Amino acid sequence: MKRRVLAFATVFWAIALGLLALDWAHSVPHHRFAEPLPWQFGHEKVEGAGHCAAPLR
Amino acid sequence: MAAVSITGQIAVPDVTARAIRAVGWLVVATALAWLAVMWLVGLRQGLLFAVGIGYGAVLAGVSFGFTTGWRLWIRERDPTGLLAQFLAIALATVVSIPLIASHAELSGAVAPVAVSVVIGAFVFGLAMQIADGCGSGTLYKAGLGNGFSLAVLPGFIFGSFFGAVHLDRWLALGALPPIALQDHLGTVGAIVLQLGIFGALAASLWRRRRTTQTRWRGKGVYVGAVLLALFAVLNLVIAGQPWGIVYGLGLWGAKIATALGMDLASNAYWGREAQQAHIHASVLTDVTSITNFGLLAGAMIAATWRGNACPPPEAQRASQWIAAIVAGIALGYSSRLAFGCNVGAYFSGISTGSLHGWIWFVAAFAGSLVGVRLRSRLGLKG
Repeated sequence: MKRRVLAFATVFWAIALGLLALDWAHSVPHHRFAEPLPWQFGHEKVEGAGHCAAPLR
Repeated sequence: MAAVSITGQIAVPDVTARAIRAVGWLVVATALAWLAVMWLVGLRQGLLFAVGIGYGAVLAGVSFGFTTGWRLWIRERDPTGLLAQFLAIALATVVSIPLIASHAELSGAVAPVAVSVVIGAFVFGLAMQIADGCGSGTLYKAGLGNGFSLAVLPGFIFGSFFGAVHLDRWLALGALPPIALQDHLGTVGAIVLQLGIFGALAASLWRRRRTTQTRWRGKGVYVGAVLLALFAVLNLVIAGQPWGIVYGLGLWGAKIATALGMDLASNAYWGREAQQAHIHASVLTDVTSITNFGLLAGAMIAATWRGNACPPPEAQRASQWIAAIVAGIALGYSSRLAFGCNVGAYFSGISTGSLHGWIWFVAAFAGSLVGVRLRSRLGLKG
């Protein structure tokens, strides 16, 4: 049983990491030096972050 | 190694040399992933990944369990899980509401008070008892290789995506604008009201308790609650918005749907400028996804340390597997109608003063009353 669970976990992580790599390769290139400051507190608001509670405007 | 008995009680972890080696490898892999995020995406996302690791480590480390906490009250009248949840949310409230009130760059999880919130939260509360996991629980148990949660997760992702696709139609049933209690009662008034409600609820649960020993021993779950509140505040300070789970899941669904040729540009939700940008950017740049990934890693480390990283299967019969898939779809879809799950609406909504969080709690608990009975009917353990 433990072996089966380990196999499930391995498959899950293999698929997850594979999808992440595919996603990175096919997404709009990210310019890491254009990142906002390390934390939002005390800095100008960065708009556009998604949240499940955000109203539909 | 086993840390969870048949009755669900948590025993003291018996850490073996093998477990220590496994934890060592997982810590190294997580540290490398963290460095990769910092290098590829930036410091802010790296910090959020670290906060996610904290969430996962606490949730799995003390078996925090939003879903189980509710179920153990309903079945056994053990208030421990609910009291720990109240403590975490109350502590986050005391810090988050003043921060949001005094800093315009920080946003709360304040959503409309809509008919869809009541319907969505009721269905979510029901389905989370069948799935034995909410947003966070399903995610991290799938990462641990739990077959049942692995059956729930794909439905959760696509349900969340389609729930957002149809959100405008559900809102047409009737919705008031978002209501933040601090806007009407002031910062102190909102905090006092919320702490008063939590205090009254906690006192009522304590008076009606039959046991406090069904799952948690000692103070660990309360220490976990304090740490969850701390990480939630860090999440708010770093991301500028509170902890969320299901936006990330829906986004993963939207990206897969787009990759399969679905055009979402004209959709009321996914067609908006910000959502289109998210769909076309890497998920590593999304604040909700990055904490989800951290949560997975942190839970994996903590569960391996405790020796319960290979959870026993919960489903044996075909009907139970079908129930897992249906529950996953229901969880995802309903969480979008309800503007969040137990994390985005219940924890973050209430702790940032949103009235919709309280409505979510009442409706989801009513759903759980039904869900616990359905769980028994389906013959699911626990």
